[in-house]
Amino acid sequence: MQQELTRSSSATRGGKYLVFALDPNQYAVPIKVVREIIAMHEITPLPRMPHFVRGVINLRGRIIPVADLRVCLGMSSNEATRTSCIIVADIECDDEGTTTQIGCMVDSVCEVREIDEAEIQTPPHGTDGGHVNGLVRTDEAVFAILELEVLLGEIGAQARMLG
Amino acid sequence: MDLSAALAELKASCALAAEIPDGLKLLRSAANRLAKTAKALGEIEVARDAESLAAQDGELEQLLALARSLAAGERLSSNEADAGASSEDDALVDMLVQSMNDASATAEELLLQLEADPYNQAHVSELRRVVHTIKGEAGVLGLDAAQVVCHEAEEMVDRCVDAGDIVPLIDPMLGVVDYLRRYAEALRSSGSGVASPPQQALRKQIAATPSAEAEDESGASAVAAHEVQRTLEPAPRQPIAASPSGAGPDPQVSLLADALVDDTLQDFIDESRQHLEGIEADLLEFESKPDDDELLNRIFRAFHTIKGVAGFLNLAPIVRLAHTTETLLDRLRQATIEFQTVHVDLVLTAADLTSKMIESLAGGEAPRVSQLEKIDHRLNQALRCEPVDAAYTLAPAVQETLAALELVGEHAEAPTPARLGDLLVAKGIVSKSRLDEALALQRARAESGESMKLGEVIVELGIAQQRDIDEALMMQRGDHPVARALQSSVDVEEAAALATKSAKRRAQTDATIKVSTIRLDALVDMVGELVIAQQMVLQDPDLRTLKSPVLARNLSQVNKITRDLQEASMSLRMVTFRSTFQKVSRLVRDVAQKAGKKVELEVAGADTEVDRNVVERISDPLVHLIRNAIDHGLEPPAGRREVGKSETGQVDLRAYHSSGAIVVEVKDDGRGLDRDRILAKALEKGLLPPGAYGPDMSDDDVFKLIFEPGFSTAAAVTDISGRGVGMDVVRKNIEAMRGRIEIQSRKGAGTTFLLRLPLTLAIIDGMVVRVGQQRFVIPTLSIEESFQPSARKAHWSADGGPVVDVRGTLVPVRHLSQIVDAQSDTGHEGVMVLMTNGAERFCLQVDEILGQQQVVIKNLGATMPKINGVAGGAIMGDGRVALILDAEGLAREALSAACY
Repeated sequence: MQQELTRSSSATRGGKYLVFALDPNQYAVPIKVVREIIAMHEITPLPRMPHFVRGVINLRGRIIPVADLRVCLGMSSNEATRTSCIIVADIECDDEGTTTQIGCMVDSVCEVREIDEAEIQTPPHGTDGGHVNGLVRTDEAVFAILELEVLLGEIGAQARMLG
Repeated sequence: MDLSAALAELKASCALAAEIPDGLKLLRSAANRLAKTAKALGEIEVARDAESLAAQDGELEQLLALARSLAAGERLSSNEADAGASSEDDALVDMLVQSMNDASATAEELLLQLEADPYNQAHVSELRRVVHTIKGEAGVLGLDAAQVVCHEAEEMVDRCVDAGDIVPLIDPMLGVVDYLRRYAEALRSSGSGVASPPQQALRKQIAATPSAEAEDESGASAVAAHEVQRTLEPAPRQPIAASPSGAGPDPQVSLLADALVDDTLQDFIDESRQHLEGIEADLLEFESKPDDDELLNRIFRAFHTIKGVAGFLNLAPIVRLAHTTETLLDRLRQATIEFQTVHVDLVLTAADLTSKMIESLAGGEAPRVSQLEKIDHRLNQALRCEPVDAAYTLAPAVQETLAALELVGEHAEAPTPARLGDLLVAKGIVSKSRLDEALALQRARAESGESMKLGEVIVELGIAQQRDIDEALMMQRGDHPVARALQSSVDVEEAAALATKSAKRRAQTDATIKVSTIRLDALVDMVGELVIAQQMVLQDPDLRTLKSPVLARNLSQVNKITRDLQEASMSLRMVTFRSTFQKVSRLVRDVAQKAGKKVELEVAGADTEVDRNVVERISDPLVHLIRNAIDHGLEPPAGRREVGKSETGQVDLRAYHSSGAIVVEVKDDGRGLDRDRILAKALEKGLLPPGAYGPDMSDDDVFKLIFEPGFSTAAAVTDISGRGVGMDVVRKNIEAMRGRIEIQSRKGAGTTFLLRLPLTLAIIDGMVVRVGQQRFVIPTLSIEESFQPSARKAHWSADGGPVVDVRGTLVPVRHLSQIVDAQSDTGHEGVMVLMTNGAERFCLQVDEILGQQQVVIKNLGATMPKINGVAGGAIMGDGRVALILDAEGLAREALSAACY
């Protein structure tokens, strides 16, 4: 399951996206923020953290936090299943471009999909406070393109406030 | 005095010479006078140098350097003249900065000791020597300003010694130390070209010390003349070392007489060993690849560096030999001398002798003076077969030996026989002493008009066989590979001896090497990973099903090695508190002076070793604590008298190991903490914990208030009998290191701060405990004991929280599950872990103690906020993460939050 994905460097919104499911919905993130996808790890919970922080895992000797994307997006938390996995994302953590890794727990990973700029519709104004970058309609489904940096940045700030 | 007059004249001539061509004439006559005077003083080599310089339009820098070396036993080169050498000097700058800092620290320490004990002659002379060394070092790099300052400082020391009163020099000398530090810092950041920090005010202060003699030193216009004169004065005390003019038996080269013996010397020894080893390897390679300029450059640089540092350290014989060798290499480099195999042998011999001298610094046997003379002699013979280049200036050392040759009267001798001799010696066919015999005989015969070749003489004397001579001659003609082959076939024993020797040398080079801290940290991290990985293997459940005694034994062997490796890698980062404590000594002096108090600082345990990260981070808290101790803790002298204490306050600074931790203790015998005033202050600032009632609070709790962030900001800090400035910073820093602070204080009797610190920041000793499904690591440092609770001991206190009786003291109990949101499966039956956080104690109840283990501390990711009570995470043997608890935060969390 552990699979390093090459990162594409597309400046535009078109390009390769990783599509994943937070049942019953589907979401996508640009492949370039995804460092790797790993199987569910034993997550060590952290005390007095907001609910969306599942805890921390050992990623080959480094400890990284894991966020529950379901909770981040306002859904109820799910127990980890056989298909659950953790998307390890590279997130810029300051203005100098230093990145840090954050795990995002999702219900399942669907596919890596080439999406044209033209396929992406701008979301209706006012939805989801800036972390939805666009909507893509396919034959099978509609999925939202997430701006992980914005989403996790928001929750990071919240966590800091709570901490 | 004649000499001083000559030097003054010389200086003036040099200035002139720089401007007018006619100045050269003046210069020449000045050199002649210098030579005469030097002769009168018995400084033969200098006299000859001056003479030869005068004879060949010597350049002023050389002459000046010579004059200075005559006067101070120093070899100084002028700043402007050495522009060409500056690239090679970059390495020297680093070394200079290092040694300037070291010397500053030593000087500072000495000064502080002198202040306490002004009649300690040993310290005065040590101080003088340190300043003298810095002066010499500054001279090597042409840092004229620093050199002048050191010069004047040195003179000031002399004046004060003459006046019989050391005390006045302490302040200006500390100024000098600061100046040198600033300069070193500037050099470090900007390289050798940087300008000196302002020093005029300092120089005035120096000149005016002691005040009685101020008038003849302060005249600014006379500075130049003074400088020359001053340079001159130490001459009788500092004769040039290892003067070869001594007749009689062959003495050993004496190096240590004038050398500064300290850490710098050790560094020099280590570095030189490396350089010499490099030289040897490069030379051997060069022999087969004579066209490789890079090899030659490398050899040249190595000698140059050795020369430079030896110059710092006042090791004149090494400087001289390295210089002559360097000159030969330089000419080979510039192709003014055609390369011959014999040159390799020459340089090898020079390297061996240099090595011997350096080993003698480390306690080995020094080479004989005659050996040095001989190699000098030979090198010069090699030098002399060059086409004479008028523009090229001979260096003093070369001149010296040239002069020495003239003394013996064999300058007309053709170089060939000597080179043959060198070959024979280098190849181990004849010993040096036998060769000398042969040379002497040859010379004697030559004088009586009978010309003989050296080879013939040698054979005649029976020192070597004709066959050996033929081989050597063959080598001399250039077909050395064959000769070498032949050589090695006949000289197996010799080769074996050489091999043993080089192995011995290699063993000696293991003393120290420099490693960048980044690489060191990476190593320590990797070893940490290894420990974890090894634990994972060891605890693999599948492993337990295999009942193989061999495997078990091998695994335990791996386990042991891993532990040893971890310990060894940790020890690499250990440093002592010495430099930190040094800073504190200085601080005490400055603060005491400012606060108008008399303070005696007693330092103990400066050699206690601790992780360098800890040392780095303890510095700030220590400064705060010391400053507070003096400023607020100690009473003013009058106040102390009133209460019957001695006027001089006592501050103790101690470091020692205590149960797996480092304790740094700052103790004063001042007025102690005043709990009433602290309470009043805290009340006023609203810092009392909710529900606390002042009079009921324990002393410990009250004293802890001074660490509260708001406590210190008040303007009225000084009224409180104590501490205030930056105490929250102190606590933050100590806690960040997972250390803790204890305060012991008695009103009127003083205060003691105990900083209990982990030995290292990267790894902690922890107790692994379990609550429900989760494991936690509690730092052993904050655990006092653990025990099974019994119904008899458990109580409920008046306010409803549970307490437990620990040998008569009631200690509050909290279940860890309530602090970390976990499910407990034992409830009140769980094991008690008595935690201590300074004087504050509480019991942490856990489900089970799983064991003790060292863990590598990792942070929980850059984006994670700090969680109260959690210091970080540790990766356990099974690859899962366990949280490391932090006692201080846990205590706050446990005792403040309504857990029950």
